[in-house]
Amino acid sequence: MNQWVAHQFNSSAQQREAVTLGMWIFLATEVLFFGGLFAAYTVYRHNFPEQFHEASHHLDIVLGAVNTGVLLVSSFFMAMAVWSIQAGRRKLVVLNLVMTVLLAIAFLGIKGFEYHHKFVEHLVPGSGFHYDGDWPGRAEMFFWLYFVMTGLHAIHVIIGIVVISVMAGLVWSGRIGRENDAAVELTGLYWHFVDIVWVFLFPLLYLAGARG
Amino acid sequence: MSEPVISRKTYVWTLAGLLGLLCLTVMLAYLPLGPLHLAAGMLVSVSKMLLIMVFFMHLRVSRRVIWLAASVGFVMLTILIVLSLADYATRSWMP
Repeated sequence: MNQWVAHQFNSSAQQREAVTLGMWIFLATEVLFFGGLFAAYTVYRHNFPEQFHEASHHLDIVLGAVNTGVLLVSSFFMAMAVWSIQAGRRKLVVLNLVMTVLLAIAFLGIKGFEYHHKFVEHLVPGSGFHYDGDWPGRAEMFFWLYFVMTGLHAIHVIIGIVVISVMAGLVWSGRIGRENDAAVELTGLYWHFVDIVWVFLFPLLYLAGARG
Repeated sequence: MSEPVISRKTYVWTLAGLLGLLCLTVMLAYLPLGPLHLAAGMLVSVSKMLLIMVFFMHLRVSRRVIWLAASVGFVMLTILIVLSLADYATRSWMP
C-alpha cells in the first residue's frame, strides 16, 4: 500500500483498473452525446442527399485535412506524454503536453478562420443566412449540423486544452509523477476520443460532396 | 508506479499509418466512386479509429472488460442510427 491508493482499493493495480474502466464508461456516454448529432446528420443526409452534396462544396477540404493532421499529430504527442510519464521522464512529459496544447490551439485557430469565412459568406444559419441554389432551407440544415457538430467538438477541444495545461503544471511542479500517473493517462484517453470524433466529422462534413 | 506499456516506435508507426489514411481519404474523395464515397470514407475513418483506440488508447494491452466498455457506446449508437433509418428510409413505402 502507498499514499496514492485510496482506502476503498486493495492495491494500486485495482485502483488503476477502476479509474480506467470509469473513464471508458464516461467516453461511451460521450459517444452517445455526439451520437444524437450523428444520427440527425444521417437522417437529414438521407432525406436531402443532393443539397448536402452541394452545400459541403462550400467547406474547404484543404483546411479540413490540415486540421485533421494537426489533431492526429497532437494525439501522437499526447501518447508520447503518457509514454514519458510511465518511463519517469518528467521534463519530456511537460514538453509533450505543451506540444499537444499548442497543436490544439492551432486547430482552434484554423477552425475560427473557417467560421469567419462562413460568416462573411452568409452561410451561418439564422436570419443572415443566404444561399444561392434550390432548397436553401435544406442547405441551411447542413450548415446547422456543421456548426453544432464542429462547435460541440470545439468545446471539447477547449476543455482538453484546459485539462492538459493543468496536467502539464502538475507534472512540472512534481505533484504528478510516475507513482500517480493515472490522471495523465486518463487525460490522454479523453484527448484521443476528441481526435476520433474529428476523424468522423471530417469525411462526413468536408468530403460529403465528393469531387470525383 | 508503472512501465511504458507500448513502445515509442509503435506510436510513431501508428501516427504514420494515421497520416497515410488521411491522405487516402482525401484522394478517395476525388475519385469517381459515385455512391460508394460514403462507404469508402467511413471505412477509412473506422480504420483510423481502430488505430487510435488499439495503440494510442492502449486497448491492445487492456483487459477484456475495457474492450467491452469501449465498444458499448458504438453498439448503442449503431442501434440508434439503424432504427432511425428504419423509420425515415421506409416512410415513402406507405401506399
